[in-house]
Amino acid sequence: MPTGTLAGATLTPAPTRQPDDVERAQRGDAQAFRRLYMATADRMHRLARWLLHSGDVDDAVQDVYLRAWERLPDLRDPRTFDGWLRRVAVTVILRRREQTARTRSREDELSAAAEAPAREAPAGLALDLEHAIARLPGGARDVFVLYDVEGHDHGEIGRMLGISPHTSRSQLHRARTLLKHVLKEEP
Amino acid sequence: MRDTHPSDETLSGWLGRDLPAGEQRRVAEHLRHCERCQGELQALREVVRRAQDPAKAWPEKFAVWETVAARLNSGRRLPRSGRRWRSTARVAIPIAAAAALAGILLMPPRSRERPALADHPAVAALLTLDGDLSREVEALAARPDWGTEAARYALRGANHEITGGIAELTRALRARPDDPALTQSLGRAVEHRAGLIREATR
Repeated sequence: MPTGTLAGATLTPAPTRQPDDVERAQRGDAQAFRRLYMATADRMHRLARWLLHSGDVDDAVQDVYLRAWERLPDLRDPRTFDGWLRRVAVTVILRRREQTARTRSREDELSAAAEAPAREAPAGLALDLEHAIARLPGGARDVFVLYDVEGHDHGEIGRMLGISPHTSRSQLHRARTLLKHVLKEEP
Repeated sequence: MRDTHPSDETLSGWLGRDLPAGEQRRVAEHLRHCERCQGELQALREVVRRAQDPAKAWPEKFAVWETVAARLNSGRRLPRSGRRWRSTARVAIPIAAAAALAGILLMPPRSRERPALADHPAVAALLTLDGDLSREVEALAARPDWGTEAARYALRGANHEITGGIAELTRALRARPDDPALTQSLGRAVEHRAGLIREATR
């Protein structure tokens, strides 16, 4: 159980992650968990940005770390923490996305679709890869992010997204092809 | 193939060794002499390489940590000290052992997804059993006559979470397939999945 206070922690710079932080956090050391958060939050935020087609990305990242804190005692091998955290993140984010899709009304969807072009870069400007990934079709983006960025295999992706490994492969190749064209347009 | 350039999708498949063996060889042969396709392949490699660049800094992470910390301090979510694992561990190990034995006796064809682990009967048997259990949970969660929509959603979420844990263990087992602690953890995870079915059908 955590015993220390967490208040005021952000007044000091983010300290470097320590080798035994995972074990300490498993025992309830919140400062160790904070160091783990600081070391991994940029990546988790990027993952949430890419996988959440809409919605509040910051809230999703919060949920990821709250879930990770809750489940951390179940992690058997602390050396696998980074991969384990990515899996927790994918599960939380996909669940949140599914929940959002279920609860969103048709009117909201139409409204979001109408707003979407405003988030895109102005026509004629080259896009960096990050923007290009965000603009991929949903299925292709999910698979690209989970395979090429997060390192899951097609079997795992199929189970996570409810698609066949064959579909996962097709979507990956489609995504890479689209992104290749974007990179070629870069100055 | 000498006269026809492979498509981008085919080159991407070649990159991931996803093509049938014959096509994989034909593309390799084509690439040997086609500078244009070598360039296309290099561009695809660049996409993959850049996708793995470190994430850009997220400036709000300090503010978001404050919210996370406040919620941790509120006591709504605290580490559970492995409570759930302990509760299942009493029955998990015998079940895992039985499952492994059953798997050895009824060894299925080798899985294309897990070539390295197919040579380890206990692990392969547990993974096969787990695949069956996972499909069973999914089928249950897809039945409109079972539970409420929220319950089906929660069941599917729990199933996905176990899938994540098992995939993690599978990766570790690929590196250390003879590690008995990992196999035992896998057995517990499979038992956890079986527990979902028991609980859902009670």
